[in-house]
Amino acid sequence: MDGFIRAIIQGVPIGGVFALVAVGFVLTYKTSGVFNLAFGGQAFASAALYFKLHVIEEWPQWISLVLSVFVLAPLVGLILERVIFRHLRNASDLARLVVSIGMLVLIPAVMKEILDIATVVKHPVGILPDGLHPYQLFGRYPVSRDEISQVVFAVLAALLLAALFRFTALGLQMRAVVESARMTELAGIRSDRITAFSWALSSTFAGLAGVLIAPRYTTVNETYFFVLVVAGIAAAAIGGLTSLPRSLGGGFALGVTAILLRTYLPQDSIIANQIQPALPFIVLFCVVLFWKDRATVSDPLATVDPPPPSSASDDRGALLTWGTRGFWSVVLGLMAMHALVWGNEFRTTLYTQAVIYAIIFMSVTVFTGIAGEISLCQSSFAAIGAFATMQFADRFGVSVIGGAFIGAMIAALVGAALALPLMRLGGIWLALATLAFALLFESVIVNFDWVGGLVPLPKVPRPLLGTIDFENERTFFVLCVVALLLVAFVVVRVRNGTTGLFLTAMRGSETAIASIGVSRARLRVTAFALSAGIAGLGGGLLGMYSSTISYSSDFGPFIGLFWLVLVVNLSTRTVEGAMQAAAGFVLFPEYILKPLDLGGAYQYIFFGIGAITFARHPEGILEFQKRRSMNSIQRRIDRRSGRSSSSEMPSVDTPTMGTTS
Amino acid sequence: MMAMLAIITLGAAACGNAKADKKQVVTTLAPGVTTTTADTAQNVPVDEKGVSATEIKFTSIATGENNILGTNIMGAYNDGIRAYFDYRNASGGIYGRKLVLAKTRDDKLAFNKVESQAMIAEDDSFGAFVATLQFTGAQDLADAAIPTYGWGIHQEFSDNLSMYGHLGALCLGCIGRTSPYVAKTVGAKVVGILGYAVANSKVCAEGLRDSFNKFEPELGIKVGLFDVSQGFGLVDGLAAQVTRMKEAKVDFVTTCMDLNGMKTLGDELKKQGMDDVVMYHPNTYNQKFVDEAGGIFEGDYIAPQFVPYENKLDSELQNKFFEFTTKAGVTPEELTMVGWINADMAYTGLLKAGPKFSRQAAVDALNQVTNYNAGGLVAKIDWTKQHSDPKADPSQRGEFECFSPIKVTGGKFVPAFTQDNKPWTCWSNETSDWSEPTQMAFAETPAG
Repeated sequence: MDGFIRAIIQGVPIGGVFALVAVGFVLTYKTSGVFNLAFGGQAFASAALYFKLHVIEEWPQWISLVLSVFVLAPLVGLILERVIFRHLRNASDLARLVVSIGMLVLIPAVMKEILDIATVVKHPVGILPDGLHPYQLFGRYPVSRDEISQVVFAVLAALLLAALFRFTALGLQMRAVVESARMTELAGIRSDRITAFSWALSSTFAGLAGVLIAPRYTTVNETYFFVLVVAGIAAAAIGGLTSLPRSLGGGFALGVTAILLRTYLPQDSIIANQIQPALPFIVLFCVVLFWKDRATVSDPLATVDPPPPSSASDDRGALLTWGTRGFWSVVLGLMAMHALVWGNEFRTTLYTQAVIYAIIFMSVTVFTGIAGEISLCQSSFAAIGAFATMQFADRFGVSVIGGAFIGAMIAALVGAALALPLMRLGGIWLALATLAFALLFESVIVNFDWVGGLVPLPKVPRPLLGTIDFENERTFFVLCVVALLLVAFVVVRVRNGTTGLFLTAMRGSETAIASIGVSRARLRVTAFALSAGIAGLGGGLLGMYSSTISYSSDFGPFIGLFWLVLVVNLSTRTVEGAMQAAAGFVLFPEYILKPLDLGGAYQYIFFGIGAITFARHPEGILEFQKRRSMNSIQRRIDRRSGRSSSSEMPSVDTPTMGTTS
Repeated sequence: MMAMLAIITLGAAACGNAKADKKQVVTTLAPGVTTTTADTAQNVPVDEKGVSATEIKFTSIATGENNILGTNIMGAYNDGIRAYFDYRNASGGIYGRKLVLAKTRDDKLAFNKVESQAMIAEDDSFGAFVATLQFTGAQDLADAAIPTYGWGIHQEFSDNLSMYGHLGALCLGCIGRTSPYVAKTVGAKVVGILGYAVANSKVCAEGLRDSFNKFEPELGIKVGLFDVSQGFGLVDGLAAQVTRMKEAKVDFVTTCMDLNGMKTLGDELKKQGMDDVVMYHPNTYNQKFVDEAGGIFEGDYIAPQFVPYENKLDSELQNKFFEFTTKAGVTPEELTMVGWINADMAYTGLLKAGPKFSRQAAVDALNQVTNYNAGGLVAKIDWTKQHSDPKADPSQRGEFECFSPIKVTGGKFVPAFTQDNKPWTCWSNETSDWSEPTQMAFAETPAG
């Protein structure tokens, strides 16, 4: 009993921080429909400013606290709402998620550039002086001042929030906006102001959580805050993303459960070593999967989307089509010559990387571009391909190309298996489930010896086809190009074939597709498997390219988020979109940032800004520009040939994907 | 699609793999190699990358941006290399040429491979220095046969004959006597061992556990807690583990965790009234860090990766280190000395290669050195065998297992076991059985 009480006392403080984050999530989700993954960035921003002001500049604690939590945090929330998310009220889940991921990357990058705290050897401190000072609760259970402040602030925040909702007109209006923003407007209430207030409030919660948890680390680094956010998401999921009390309780429960498991599980057991670190992700996965009221949908048209706008290439005439193909053939030919003949070996390796990433990114084209679903675990599928390639080549002596195809098949099987339990999920819930899978994969599966847990990891050899040794970078580049062409061929065939049409139709209305006798389950499994298989094949090639697989830098969950945002930002529905995203991913730092002498943070800043533009052009910024320039050229061609203009640029701001406000 | 993949797979299965084992095979001596110290003023024309009539250029690749440890890796490391080059250049350089750190590359944590490949493509440096948190470009540098000297915390330094970690090949997970010896010295009876739930950290922690278990009959020290269940970032802290340690009466803790983990552990021990538990740190040799920690590390032992600055030796190389870092206005950090040692390795290779040096000659020459010790700053490294992972091949272990720890006393670092100018506490590796250590000092290298 003593151990039990002690575990509860130890778990409550961290649970309080999880609860704060969870409540913040629910607030924004309820009032604006945005599942705000940028919370990690917002928490980091306040923690970083507090660290800079109080620890480095030695300002008084309370001034630093006020400025970082009660000025900066709400300001960031307000800016996010006013400038970005307000215009996404009617946008798709994908659009909102992409923008929030962009902000998750952008906010820390900007703050780090401004505050310059990266190499300061000082420890973050809490909001009370001498935060480590212990008190003996009930005379025997030690708690530190920092922990007390975590609990007190979490409880205070909850009480204030409850009072706000229950006893104030503002709270009443907030509840009304949650129920129906339009009805609230009819009553003369400015719902947008209420939403803005909710954002400011939730951002304050994020900032407070960030400042409270920072003393647990030796440095203020955004990576740690991403982990915090995942735990917060799990707690919010317990509340169905809508219930504040349940989310609050979920946060505390999660913190306490983690400590209870550590207290009572047998040491050095598989459960203790493999499952315990993944607790928040397991909870998230299970809640998303089994919680009955998670998919409450009030709008009967919520799952009915009009078809997406046609591809830019569909609207051009024959002459322009041939012209475009000719132009790109020349460009790609020149790039190939640069890779194979003119450029040095380094250029070849860069192009090879770009080609491999283009293959991986085509898995996003299939799953998100064609099927219209959101997966945040594509990097895990790629990792499965890479590890399988390594293991089959090393353990069983299989040829590495054979290993890569086996890896692709295993990834496809895992994708199919994952699709089955996730069958009924869509939108943000599917995104959450796949994120949970990615995190589970990272914290549990990767560590098994038969995956990536061996130390040192065996090397992945390059293939040998007859007399052709792909150890040579230029020959390996050619091999990767061949693989890219094969995959592109498959993707185009699928997109234009029956499966692609069905997937596009399912994207529009699952009910409609079911009513004509097409199995949604089969379609969903097909999309998952195909997409995972492609990612797995790309992962295998990346393993061969790298020789030594580096899971954290090449396949971590955060990388997967980055990939998704990059592809959908540029163009998610076309093969060339995936190629352009890959080129941007690999070549942008080398050809743009380096010559301009811009630090790595700028990559993330540009990435975040790109995500914002996605809000305006949800078909992808490149696709949008392509459509615009093609229409312009087509009009000139038509004018010269004396025909009336046959193509006008259709609106891309469709009701479901873009802005209508 | 699956059928198609299956068919392609069957077809591809007939293919082979190129160079499954990418170990470099460097067995022959290049022309011009000598094994004696050459006349360093003799400037003869040399046709080698990065070498001109007046300079020998090097490039460093280090982690600057996105360093999650929050320490100054890149700056300190490059300072150490520059200070060493200043020292050698002050007496004329080598073979009539100045040693120059011509380029510094920041791998920004995630771009190690790209930076390595870019360096290889430019091919305008004689050798590379590497101090990064990931080493994904190792194979590229090895394949390019560029002499590479680095912060030896990565397994990737193993099995490549042109790569030199500053400690020789790592032995992650090997049975070792250092931790048990510190535990014995402080009179510990029960030890707690912590690691992260990631492969490298786990293997390291398992090695510690196996070591204590092996020596339990001789030392009477039991493992009271072994925990490798924490995810990186320690989001839910170490409270439960410390409580379990308390219940198990743990009086000594050793870990395979980073600075962040040690700080969290120290805070939690203090909170739960276990301040008197001694911690043995694998990587907290940072005076600023310890100063900032507010006394939680008092009485702890720390194992620097070289003879600590506080242990003044009768060593020219150590004296010159202080002299030239002071001249450069550099405050020495852990990585400053690593940079210095790596630069000395590069110099030693050149020196032993002779005036008609080449990359290959410098590699071959250094690989013949059986007692490299950077003027006594690191324990003896036998480069004829210490390129290989000793866990995989125990015959490749060095002659001695050594460490030169410090104790945090009054917030300052104080050399722990040093005697009579002998900073190294060592055991012979002829057997891995328990024995009492011997205090040792290692001879100066010819370079020193």
